[in-house]
Order: sequence, then C-alpha cells, then structure tokens
Amino acid sequence: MSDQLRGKIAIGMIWAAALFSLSVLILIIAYILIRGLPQVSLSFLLESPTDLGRSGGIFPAILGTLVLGLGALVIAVPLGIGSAIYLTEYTYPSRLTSIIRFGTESLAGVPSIIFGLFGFIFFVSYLKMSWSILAGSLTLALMILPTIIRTAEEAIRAVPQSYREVSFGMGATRWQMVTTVVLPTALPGILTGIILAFGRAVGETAAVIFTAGTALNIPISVFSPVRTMAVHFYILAVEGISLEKAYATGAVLIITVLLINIGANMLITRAVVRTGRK
Amino acid sequence: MSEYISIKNLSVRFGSVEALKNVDLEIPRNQITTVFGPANSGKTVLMRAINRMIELSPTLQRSGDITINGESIFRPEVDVAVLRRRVSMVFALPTPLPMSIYENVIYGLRLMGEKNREKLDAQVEYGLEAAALWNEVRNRLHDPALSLSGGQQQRLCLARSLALDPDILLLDAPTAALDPISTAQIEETMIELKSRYTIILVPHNFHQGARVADRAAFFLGGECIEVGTVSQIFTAPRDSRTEDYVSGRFG
Repeated sequence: MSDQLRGKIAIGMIWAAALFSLSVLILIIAYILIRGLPQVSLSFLLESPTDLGRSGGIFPAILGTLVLGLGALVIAVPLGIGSAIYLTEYTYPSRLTSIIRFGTESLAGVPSIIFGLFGFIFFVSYLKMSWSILAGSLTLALMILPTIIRTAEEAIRAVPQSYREVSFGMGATRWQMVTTVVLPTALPGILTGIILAFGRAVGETAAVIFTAGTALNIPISVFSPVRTMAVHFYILAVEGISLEKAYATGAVLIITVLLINIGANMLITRAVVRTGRK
Repeated sequence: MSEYISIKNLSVRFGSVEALKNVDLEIPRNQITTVFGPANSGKTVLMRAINRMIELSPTLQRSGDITINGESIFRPEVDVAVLRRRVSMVFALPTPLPMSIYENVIYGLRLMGEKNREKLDAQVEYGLEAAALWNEVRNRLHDPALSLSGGQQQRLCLARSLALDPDILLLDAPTAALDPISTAQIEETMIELKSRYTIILVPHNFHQGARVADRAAFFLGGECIEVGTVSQIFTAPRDSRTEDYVSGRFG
C-alpha cells in the first residue's frame, strides 16, 4: 500500500469519526427539539405547573435552574480563580501544590450523585439547611470547582512570562502584576471554564435532587426549595406524569444552554478583540 | 569622572549555577556603558541585579553590593517598586502588554495610582516623543499595541520606561529582534537620550556597543574582565581574552 493511499484512508477515517460524533449530537438535539418544541409556548415558559406538571408551564423550574446555577457560580468562581492564582503565581511547585492539584483532579472524577449524597448529609441534614437553594448551590459549587480551577490555571499559565517580567520591571507588586496583566490576559480562558462549569451546573440532576429538593413553588429566599428543569424532566418522565411536558422541558433546557454558550462566546470574542490579540 | 552606579564585589548564584563572580564595576552618569561578552557571560544577570529583578528567582544567593549615588540598593528600607521605576529595563524582545498604545505607555504611572488625565497625556507624549515614536502613532494612541510593527513595539517599550522619568535605563539587547533600519533608529535615540539618562546597554553585537557607547565592560564567564573607554577596549585591550573576543577569535 502506498503512503499516499494510506494518507487518504486515514483522512477518510478521521472524517467519518468527526461526522459520526457530530451527527449523534445533532440527532439527540433534533429529536428532543422536534418532540418538545411544539409544546413550548409563551405560557409554558411563564406559567406555574398545575396537576404535578401534567399541565401548565415550567416557570418555577426555569427560575430554579438559573438561580441554582448562578448561586453555584457566585460561590465557586471566587474560590476557583483564587485557588488558580495561588497555585500559579504565589507558590513554587512543591509537594503541597501537587497534593492540592491531585485533590482537585480527584474531585473532578467523582460522580455527581456522590456530591448529591454528600450535600444531603452535610448541608441539608448536618447544617440543617433543609432542601434549599443554598444547599443546592453549595453542592453544585463543590462539583464545578475543579473545572473552574483547572481551566483558570491553564489560562493563567498560558500568559507569556514576559508580561510578568515587564510588570515587575515597571515596579508592580505581585498583586498588581496579577490584576493588571495576568487576569486580563487570561480572562477569555477563565470565562470559557466558567461557562463550561455553568453548563454542567444547569444540566445537573443527581447533585440537586437531594439538596435543592423538588418543590414546584416559586422560591422566595435562598432557604426555599426549588426544582430545576433537569429534575422536572426526570420526574415527569420517570413517574410517567407527562412525556410531552418532559420533552418540552428538555427543549427549553437545551435552548437555555445553547443561548448561554453563544452569549459567552460573543463576550469572549469581544474581550480578545479589545486587547488586539489574534 | 563621577561614578554613579558602583558595583562592589558582586557575586550571584542561582542554585548551583554561578552567574556573577566578584564583579567590580563603576558606571558614570549620563554616559552609555556597554556590557558585552559571549552568551552566558553574566550580562543580563548584571542588569537584573541593578533593578533587583534577580530576586524573583527563589534560588538566588547574592553577596557584595551595588550603590547608586553612594546608597546601597539592598538596604532594607529600599522599596523595590520605587527602585525599578528609577532603574527601568527594556527587554531583548519587544514586550508590549496586550492593551492600547496609550495604556502601555502609562502602565507604570497607573501602577503608582496616577489618575490625573493631563499628567498622563503629557507623559505619553513625552515618552513617545523621546522614543521617536510620537509622530507615527499620535493619531492612533488607542489602537492595540500589538498592531505595531516590531521596531515600533520596541520603541513603545522604550517610551513606557521613559514615561516613568527614570534615572537609569537598562537596555538588554533592545535591537536583537529588529531589522537594520529599526536598529539604526533605536541607536540614534539612545545617543539622544544619554544627556538625560544614564544608560547601560547589553549590545546586540559588540559592534553596536562600539558605535553608541562611551565606555565598555567585557564580561566572560560571569567575571568582569576589563573596563575602559570604548576606543581603548576596542582598539587597545589590555587583557588577551578581550583582544581575542573583539578580534573575533571566539564568541
């Protein structure tokens, strides 16, 4: 077999693999949108469910999803970026940093149901938060923390060393160097990680079903229980309440995640263009 | 000759690597002193010692002293931030920060907390003017600095240092990455600047040192072999190693 032929076969196989992955994704999204979208209307988005979700809308679940996701970010983003800055700018590689890094990596591999169980035992029962936005957000925050730390760390490491030298050379303190040069330069990468994490939090079921509850009411405080769209979907489908409404919820969830991704991408592109990096 | 910067028996080690060995060097005010020698001879470490950038390395061991105007830069009450603004460094590769031209020039002033628009505008014009870049960028100050050509970027870095009104400029092979025309512009600028600043130049090659400098110091293996006026060092070196190097026998 000639090298050229071998190359052509390889390209063909790579193409097929890419095509297969893409079509599976499109198939899933299309299936849910085709089954779900016809049920989605303005009233479905803005009304509360009635009869356990058999009829009415999913407004409380949309609200619950966004509030839990944002709550998780509010907790995890400062912790995650702080840890990443500490690991990259304030320590030299040592046994301690490798232990921390090993810890965060292990945390990333823990199944979300374990986080849910831990959240239930620790936040809900032991700290007596009961099923609530607070307990759910804290649990989600723990779950997405490794993603945020890892991506922020990588983005910060990718900042050219020469920027740090220049900053110190102009008389910057370490903290000034971090805030004026490192963080602005790493921002697009850090934002990407945050978006990824938010996507995971928004679509999460197992970690929140035990910690935020399944209440269908509109939450009034961080101590109120809420139901997320993913949990709503799960309950509607598993308990055979309404498959139509389940698919409609799934469609709204997918569109929400897509919108967040598109919005974030636009934000990141703007940030990159402003500094003149290609 | 009034010594301005005085390096006394300075030795610097990074872990097991000996970068500078018992260096003694006097640098006069308002002149260009070129520090030259082959790779790894300690030139850059010497520069980074004068603004204490070497202290960013965790394995640093230092002995000996450096004084500016008779005062040690290693005294505990010296604020390194103030020192580094007074002794400003331009690096070998153009290193504009990923922000606008304007923001690059006032970067040091911003770190100092300067907010007065007029002062900032004035320093931007002063810095860019002194670095011979003002006419080329005056109408596009808010463009990204990375949109400039390599030679312009390096002059921008020079402007960024000059905007701080330093006393001493450390130029570490500032033309190493530039074309001959940009190099000539930077060299002219250096000669114009020496009336206001004391300049220490690690040249891109020793011919550059011979072209622009007043005094020269030859370094080899972390030691200062010989110091003198440029004409003496390049035409009548006393040390055979200096002679071998300037006549091109090694390096």
